[in-house]
Amino acid sequence: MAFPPADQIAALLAGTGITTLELSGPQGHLRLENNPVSADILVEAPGPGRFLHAHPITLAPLAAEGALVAADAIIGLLQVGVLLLPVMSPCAGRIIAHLVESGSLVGYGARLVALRPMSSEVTT
Amino acid sequence: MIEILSDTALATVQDLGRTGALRMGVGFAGAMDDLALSAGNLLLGNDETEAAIEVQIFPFALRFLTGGVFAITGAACGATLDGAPVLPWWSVAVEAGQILRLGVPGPAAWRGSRAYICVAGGIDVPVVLGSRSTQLRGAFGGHQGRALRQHDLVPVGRTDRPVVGFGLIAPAVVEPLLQDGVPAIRVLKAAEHDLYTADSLEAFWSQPWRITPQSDRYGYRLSGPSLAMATPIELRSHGIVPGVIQVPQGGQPIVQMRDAQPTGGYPKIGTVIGADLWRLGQAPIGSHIRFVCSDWAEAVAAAARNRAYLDDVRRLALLHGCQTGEG
Repeated sequence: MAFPPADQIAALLAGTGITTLELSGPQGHLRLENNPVSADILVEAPGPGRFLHAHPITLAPLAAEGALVAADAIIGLLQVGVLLLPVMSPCAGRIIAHLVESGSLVGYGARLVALRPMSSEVTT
Repeated sequence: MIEILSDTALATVQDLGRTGALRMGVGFAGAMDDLALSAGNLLLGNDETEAAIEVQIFPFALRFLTGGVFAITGAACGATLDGAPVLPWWSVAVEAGQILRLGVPGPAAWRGSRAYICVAGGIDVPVVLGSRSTQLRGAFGGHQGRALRQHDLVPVGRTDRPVVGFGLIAPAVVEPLLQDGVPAIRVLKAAEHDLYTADSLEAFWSQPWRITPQSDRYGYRLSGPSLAMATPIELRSHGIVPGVIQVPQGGQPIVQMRDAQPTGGYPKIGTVIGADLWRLGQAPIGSHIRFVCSDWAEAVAAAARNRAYLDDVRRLALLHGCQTGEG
């Protein structure tokens, strides 16, 4: 089967939440990434699990929208069975938005949090 | 090595307790929340029977004199490491000189009363009669047979485990047990149960019981409706174990806890199932609990669920450790 033209697929992808599309076939390999243009960093899920905005015991938000966070701060949790894995801030910055509701099941690489790096925070 | 900074008393070294010495009159001792202790150990890659520090008076502080990895489980108590927050039921790498502070357990989805500081390698005090638990009555086991004091230096075992930085969903979140909005404790009927008046039994099984300030690791004195026998009897002293609910003359029940002496002569109305002792061990003074009538099959099933939770923790922690350990 032939791949449809890449620009046609890209146009279809633009309106969806799909972040990456990969096709493999006899003709080769096609990979399209769906990146909105922004200075904000989109923090991705390190694996599949249930994304939590707060610790299930304290219930205090780990990183509220608008909050400043340090590099490597825990800004969310990924529940995998009885484990809680940290979702960490890749750099110092400001939390712009949670992109996924707390308690949602997410896949590997799902965009969880929009973070504005401290450097661009300074210039704006 | 760990240096105790707090001068608050009543923090002790505990493992899962001292079994097999009852015939010598030596009680169990051991963690009031055995599930939290085991889970904290498994989170670190320890054997689940390693000893940890049980903290029941807050705030509490200690300094790590050597680097390593620790985990906090049990009551959520606003812990910080050199001022940086540490999540409940979480493992953290620590450098020599860093100070761990536990705050006062506050409002939370689940309010416990005892926290466990587990360390990779375990708290390495000598094993006495098969356990590292502090036997306070006999003044042996644990750290010099007593509660920890300021400036105590507590030895930590060696380990080569490199993986840290994740946590666990607490059993109280996985399986909360409530009756009419009050934490519930499952109880088996004990030998003298049927000798109580119908009104007393109705009250025992349906009323909330308050945990009075005269409650500690030895036993919980409860306050509520007065319990009376149809015809009072007297008993010779006989063997008792943690979980036994005795009713002395005053009619207010006492639940034997981990440091209970192994004999008693009061009538027994019930016995808290082993799988729920941790729930009672975490119930704060002043809070209320409810007793729920259980049976042998349910008690065994509850123990199996606790075991399944710990097996999940062990399996997933190992799996996650392998994945991140290669990175």
